[in-house]
Amino acid sequence: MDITRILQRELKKGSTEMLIMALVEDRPRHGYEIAKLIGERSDGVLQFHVASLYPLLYRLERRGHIKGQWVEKAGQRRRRYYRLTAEGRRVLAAQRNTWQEFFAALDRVAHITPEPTDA
Amino acid sequence: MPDEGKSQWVRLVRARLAPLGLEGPREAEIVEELAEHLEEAFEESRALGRTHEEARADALAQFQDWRLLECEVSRAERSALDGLLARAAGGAEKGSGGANVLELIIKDLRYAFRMLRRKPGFTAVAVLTLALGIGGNTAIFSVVNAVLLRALPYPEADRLVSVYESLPQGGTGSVSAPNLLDWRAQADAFTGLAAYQLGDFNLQEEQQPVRAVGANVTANFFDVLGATPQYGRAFLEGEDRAGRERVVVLGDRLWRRNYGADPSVVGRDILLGGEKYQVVGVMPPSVQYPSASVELWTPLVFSESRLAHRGAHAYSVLGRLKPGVSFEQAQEQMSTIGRVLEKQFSEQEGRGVTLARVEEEQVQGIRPALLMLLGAVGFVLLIACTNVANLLLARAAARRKEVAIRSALGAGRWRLMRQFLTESVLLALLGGAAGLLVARWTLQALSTLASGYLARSGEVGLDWKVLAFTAALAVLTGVVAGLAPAFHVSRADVQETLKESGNSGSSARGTWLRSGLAVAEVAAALVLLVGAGLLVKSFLRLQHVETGLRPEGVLTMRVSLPGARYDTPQKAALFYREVLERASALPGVEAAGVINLLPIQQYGNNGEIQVEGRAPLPPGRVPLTEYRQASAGYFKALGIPLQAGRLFEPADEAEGTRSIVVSRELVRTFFPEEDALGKRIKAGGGDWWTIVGIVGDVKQSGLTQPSRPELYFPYAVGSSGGMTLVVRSAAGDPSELTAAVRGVVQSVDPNQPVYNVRTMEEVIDLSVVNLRLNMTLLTIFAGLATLLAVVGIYSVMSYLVTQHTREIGIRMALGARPRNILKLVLGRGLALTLVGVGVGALVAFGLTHLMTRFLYEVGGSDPLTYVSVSLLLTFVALLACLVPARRATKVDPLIALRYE
Repeated sequence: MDITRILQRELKKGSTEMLIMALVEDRPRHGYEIAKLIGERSDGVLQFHVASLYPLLYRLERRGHIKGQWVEKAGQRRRRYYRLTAEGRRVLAAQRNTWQEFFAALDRVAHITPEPTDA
Repeated sequence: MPDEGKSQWVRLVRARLAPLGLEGPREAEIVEELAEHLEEAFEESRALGRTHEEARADALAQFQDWRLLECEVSRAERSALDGLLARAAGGAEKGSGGANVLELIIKDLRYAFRMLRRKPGFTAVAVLTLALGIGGNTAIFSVVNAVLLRALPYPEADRLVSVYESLPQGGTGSVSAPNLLDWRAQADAFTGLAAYQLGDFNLQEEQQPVRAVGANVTANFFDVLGATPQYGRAFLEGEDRAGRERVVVLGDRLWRRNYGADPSVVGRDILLGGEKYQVVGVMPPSVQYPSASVELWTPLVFSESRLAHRGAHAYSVLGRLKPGVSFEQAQEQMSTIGRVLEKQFSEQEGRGVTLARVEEEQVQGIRPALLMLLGAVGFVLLIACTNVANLLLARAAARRKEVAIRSALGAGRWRLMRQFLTESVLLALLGGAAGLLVARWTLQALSTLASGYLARSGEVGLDWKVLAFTAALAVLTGVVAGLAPAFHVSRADVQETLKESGNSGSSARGTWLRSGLAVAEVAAALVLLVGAGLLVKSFLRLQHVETGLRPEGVLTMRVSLPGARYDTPQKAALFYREVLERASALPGVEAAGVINLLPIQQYGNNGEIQVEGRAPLPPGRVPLTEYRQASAGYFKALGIPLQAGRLFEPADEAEGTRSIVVSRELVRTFFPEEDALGKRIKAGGGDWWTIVGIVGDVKQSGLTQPSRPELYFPYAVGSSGGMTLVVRSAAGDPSELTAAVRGVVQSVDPNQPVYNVRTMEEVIDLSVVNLRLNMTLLTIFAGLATLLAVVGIYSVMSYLVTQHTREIGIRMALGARPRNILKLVLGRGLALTLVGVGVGALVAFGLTHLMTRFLYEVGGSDPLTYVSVSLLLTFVALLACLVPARRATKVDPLIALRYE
């Protein structure tokens, strides 16, 4: 049980940036939506605290991987939407590549079947 | 509507989340985004049918740990690496892209501003340090600019010269009327030669007579000077001849004060010394010649007797060189004329002609003092720069990591140096702006301190020239202070730095540089301290100079009797006798007397004497004797002791017994082996006079000048228009007698003003005002320099202690006691200070001979001064080291070692 949690934590640490970038790859999303989608799509396995989500968004933005923008749609509140930049797209592709190679290697050695993480 | 909900969340976020210390808009953006998240969660819960309270609790549940959020957001926003990555990338881009220069500068400036704002303590100390340095320089430079650099306000002022007769004893003297006329006739180097003579005028204004300083000038005076009146006209040719001379030109100050700046005063008659004079013109404020105190000009008429006597040297002469004639050519020509006149007339034996540039004469007295002060503030600025350089160096060391990362990411060396230079220039500009304020205050203080002392102090102000000077100084300071750290940093070996652990940012080179700067500061401070110390010592010596008189309890005031009403010596003598009788009878008055020239103020009215029965010495070989006219009461009132014989008796005054009183110095000079009493002497021709009394010596011309031989005639004999009343009060403050004594004068002659009302102690104080001013300023600068140098030593030692925490920890872990550590740190500080003191003493030794003219009975290498200021500086520096030294003893070995 403990080992599972530690493994989960460590894996999460390495993958969160990729998760976020993947979620804003197709269309811009705001913070709440990103948190919700991660929870939903991972069936609750991956849970993001506000205290880690927003700082991560800010870091990615400072690095130029994503770009935030306030958007006010008719009849809605002002929300900050994040979209992937060209630079982010390159980084995301590279990270996906790394993870794929990593899982492939894991699979060959330890015979796991990675759950496909969908964008 | 929905926004109302959100603003409530915004308030909540603001309340829960401590301020992040980010830039305003960014912080607001983050708060809004978090509030937005809460609102979304809240609405979702509500949509699921939860109550308001439950939904609120659900939303808040997502924000379990506000502190963690705070930390993480702060870290994300400030992440140095991220920031540097972005900036360095930007820098590299710009470097290759050739973006517009202005943009680059603005970017650099903005970054520099951010860096300075991030360290308010550092910025404040640096700006303040520079402000003091630059402010002091601006203030002194303003004075130098007004007094030394700004041209006189007359056209082609460089062609104005004063022409003197040179004396057989050396030096220069006044000119006689026949000589002037001969010069005019024979010299062609000048467009004109004008004579003038300063005088006091009693100006009759309704009831109260007032006194004004004026000048009698030949009719061509204003032409020669190049002065044009603002109203009316200057003098016409021929107005300096008897019968046409009742005209006057007013100075701007008098015109404003007494005539309400009314231009229609031109053409009106005014009463001067009881005579009607017609006002023909008003000069602009800039015309203040021959001195700033002159308020009116009247024509100078050469009397028959003046024209007849070539030996009556009474006038000053102003000339204007013709275009194309050089000063040297004019001097050459006048020397030739002088030699011709010398051959022609026996009165001219040994006398020649000497020219002096008016521009130089005007600043002669003040120039050395100003240059000394300029040098002193220069030192202060140097120390200030050094201090700031030291501060920048310390900061640069702390930022080596940042620099290493940036340069690893491709920021070029030039780019880094530019950034550091931008920061220090910005710092210097801020310092310069603050310094301008300091300068304003300093100037205000200066003008209070120096009122009446500087020839052209009225023109001292901050002007564009001074502003430009300050700006240039500020930028130069920035470049100088910034260059060392920038150079130092950019040479840092990137790999070495990145490999180094957290706290050791120092290098041997940096430490040496910083120590060297501290040594330089101490040295500069010592130089100033020595200078100030020497002046202070001179001043103390002056306080104990034997003046020969007892100034306490003595009131003095000047009276000038107008020649029109007091046209014979008898009338004047009658006036003074009456005044003295009534003044002596006043309650509270112990003694009252008169003298034509008060001691301390100046030499003047001197000549050669001849002793009966001795062959006359050739001219120029006899020591000059000061001639005075005094009453018997004068000696009592001023406390000058009678050493032999008697003072004047009424018979001496009334019957003309030809009795004189002489000073001890005169006896020492002319009768070293004999009894002088009863001997007869001749003063500058005329009758034989018998010595009846010998009195003590007084300092005639300032405290620093030696007492000359002096002889006193009875005042009633040849009593001149101007006399100073000297009144000794029986008890208490002598100035309380002012009204009573003034009343006595007016009771004898209601139209007679008194002026220069001062206690004798004030007279003495005024005579040392220059020295006092120099001393005060130099002491202030030295104090400032010491303060800055001590701050410098302190910052170097603190820095060293911080850098060597680990070493100190190891020593302590190995058994060193706090006492040893204290000794270690203090020893280091002492070593730095002593080297600085040594260097400073050598420099001071080389420089102080430049200031011997300001010293009195103190040598430029006075050992006591050197030793005492060195001890003082060392002591203060050690005190400054004590703070970091004590901190070093408090180092916990465990913590120090874990630090790595």
